[in-house]
Amino acid sequence: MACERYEARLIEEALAPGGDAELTAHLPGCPDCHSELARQRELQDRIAGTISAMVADGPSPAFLARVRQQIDAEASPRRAPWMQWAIGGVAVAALAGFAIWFAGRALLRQSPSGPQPAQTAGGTQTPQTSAMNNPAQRSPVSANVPAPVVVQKNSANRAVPTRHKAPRPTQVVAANDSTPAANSPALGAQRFNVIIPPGQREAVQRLVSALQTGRVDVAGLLKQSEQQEMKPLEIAPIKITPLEEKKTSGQSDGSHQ
Amino acid sequence: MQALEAILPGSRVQGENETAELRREFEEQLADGASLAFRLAMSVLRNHADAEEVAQEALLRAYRGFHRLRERGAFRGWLCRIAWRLALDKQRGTRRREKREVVAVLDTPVLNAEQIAISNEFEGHVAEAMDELPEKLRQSLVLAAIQGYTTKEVAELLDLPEGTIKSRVHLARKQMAEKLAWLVKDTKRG
Repeated sequence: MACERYEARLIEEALAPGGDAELTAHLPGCPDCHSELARQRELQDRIAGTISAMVADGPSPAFLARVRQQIDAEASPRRAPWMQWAIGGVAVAALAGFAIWFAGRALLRQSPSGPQPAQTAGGTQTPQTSAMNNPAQRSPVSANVPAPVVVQKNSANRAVPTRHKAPRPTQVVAANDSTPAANSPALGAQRFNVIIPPGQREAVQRLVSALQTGRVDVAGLLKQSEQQEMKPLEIAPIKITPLEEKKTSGQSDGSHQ
Repeated sequence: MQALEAILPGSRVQGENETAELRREFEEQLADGASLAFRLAMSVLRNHADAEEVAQEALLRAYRGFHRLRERGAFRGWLCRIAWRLALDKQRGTRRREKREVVAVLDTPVLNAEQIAISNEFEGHVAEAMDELPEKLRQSLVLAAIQGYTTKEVAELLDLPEGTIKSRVHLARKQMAEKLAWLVKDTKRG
């Protein structure tokens, strides 16, 4: 048993020998303290050896390979920050464009008078009319207006407008050689659409006819304006009838039982 | 759009080159860093599989943040802190789990003296005493115990003066000796 006075200082002496002059002078004459110091040194050696043993082993040979594999999986090429912003911007713009297109399409479906397929004189559809017939190819602007009336030349090389039941814009085909459009090298081979309100369709057809024939039927126009009469607005009377009482199926089943 | 397309391929090549360069620099540090991270984790967890798991996670985190590390010489110290923190988190999680499971194993038979001796009782006491050390002392003691690391290298790892490390290691050893002094005395700890 070490001397009580030196007991605590023995640990320090074991860690740093010769640091305590008084203890160093005491040790040769005290076998108990000397043996206690030896035990302390042995203990500290064992502690240091145990800690070293804890951290002596390295990882398993496959460890590094596993880490490299995981790093390879994560090592996809990094994009520059500005590039990520650019990609994000393009994505947002595309999304906004799609949303606008989708909203326009939804509005078109809600409109009561949809476009009708226009037919040519020969019964076949032109690329423009077939495109309008297909909702996916229909543009919001052209689909929002009435379908075109196709004016084509007949066997006598005269342009004849094709009549349709549904109101639609007029598609004028410049086919007469005497028209300025046909004489123009730029416009001679072109077909162009004239979009007009349904109420003015007759007037435009007359205008086209006048341009192609070179004369205006003034007498016919005056006669037609005289025939037009203003009629008062008439509203049909509304008939109100009482609702019939109906028995529910549950009640009828109950009455049978 | 054409201008953007003209710029993008060049930037991609530049990005790939940067990634390859980062990977090459990380690879240079990997072997040494893996050993250090594992040993640190092992000193805390004292379980080979757990230590490897923590070391692997530490290395992956270090790789993810490697491009932000301006001074490459500070890599080991940085990795050391990541691994240490992850190991302590794992240890806390394990202890919480063990506390929950204690209730379930209360009825299991207690190990006899021979079995305790077989399970290396002294190592268990040392580990327990280490866990009770303050974190700064514990980290310095473990790093100083890793073979090949001098006090100067530990000081560089922890970015501290060498004198501070010496002082911490000395204090840690002293506290350990005081905690385990009862093992070499006639009277056992109460």
